Amino acid sequence: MATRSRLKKAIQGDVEVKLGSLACVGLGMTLGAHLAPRARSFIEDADVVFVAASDPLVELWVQGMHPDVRSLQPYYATDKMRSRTYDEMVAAMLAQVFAGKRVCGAFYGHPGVFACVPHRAVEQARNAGHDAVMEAAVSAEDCLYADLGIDPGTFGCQHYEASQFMMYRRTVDPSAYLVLWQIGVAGDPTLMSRGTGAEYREILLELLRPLYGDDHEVVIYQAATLPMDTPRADRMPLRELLHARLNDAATLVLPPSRPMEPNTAVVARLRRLSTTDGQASTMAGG
Amino acid sequence: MSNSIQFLESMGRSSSVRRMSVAEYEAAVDALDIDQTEAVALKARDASALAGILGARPNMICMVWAPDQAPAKEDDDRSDTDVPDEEAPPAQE
Repeated sequence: MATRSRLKKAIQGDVEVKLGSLACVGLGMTLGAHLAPRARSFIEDADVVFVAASDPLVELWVQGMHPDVRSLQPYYATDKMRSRTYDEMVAAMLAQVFAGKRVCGAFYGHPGVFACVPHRAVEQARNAGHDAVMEAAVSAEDCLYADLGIDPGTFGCQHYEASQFMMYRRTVDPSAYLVLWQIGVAGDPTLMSRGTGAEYREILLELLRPLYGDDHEVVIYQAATLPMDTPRADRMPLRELLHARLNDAATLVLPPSRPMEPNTAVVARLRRLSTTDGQASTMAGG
Repeated sequence: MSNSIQFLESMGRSSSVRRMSVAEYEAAVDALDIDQTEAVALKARDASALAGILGARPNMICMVWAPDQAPAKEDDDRSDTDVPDEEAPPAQE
């Protein structure tokens, strides 16, 4: 209804007022390898493009696709909370949408995975009656499965942002994979840090040790952002996480430490059901 | 778009890159119409050097998500709950 109302307002007399729109697309993780045709089309067809890339060369690549590409990087600043940075990114994109422009936000990876800016921008644009869309893309999570040979279906997979994992009580299942994102800034309560150190990671280890033990092998993962790069997959005992080299793109993967525990009571009930079903179908078949 | 960036894009699109020998890779770089410094950076697979030559910004931050800043306080009566205050369901009347 809000959209209709807005559209109605946009047509005044015989003059149609141009309504702005927003498309948030993903660049994928590796330059040139993951950008989907429709995402590229949104970039090329926009009036203005905002870009949040993971690498300076990726940003240059996007800037080569359109004459008006505006980097979102300048919104980050030392001693500035990232939450404020994100507010300003959303506001910058929406200002152009409200000015009647076709706006494209091009974000590294998937625009909707561990990415609050595109989600909020799309929601606010829609609430204001504008057409807004999010295009699915290749995320770091997708690359992780391929590069590390993990199928989330095998044991299950739990994903948390590392700081949130530390600051809230979560129930972890150690018989499934545990993936902690933004491990490089784990535990930063200020949202200003570019990297937290051993003291913060020690607190994280206190949470993980009871479930995994110090000797449990973990993986520091980082997807390749350039085609000449290889993904990072550093395996180490959990205890070495304390002094591991981490940046803002690093992810911690903890394989299961325990076997899955069968729920024998439920299995027995399911077997009884299937036996009953089998008998019923045999009788029905006569 | 610079020739070096176009080259990287074509590498990203190509399935044959991973089978390329060092000599083939260097020959592909030599075939580009680019400055010698760019060619050296590409051959060395030195992304930082290439970014500097092409005038890209030196540092990038790649985080666009932040956790809720205000989990339950220590002195909060409900500090042992799994649900943050602001996301708690409304009390039933």
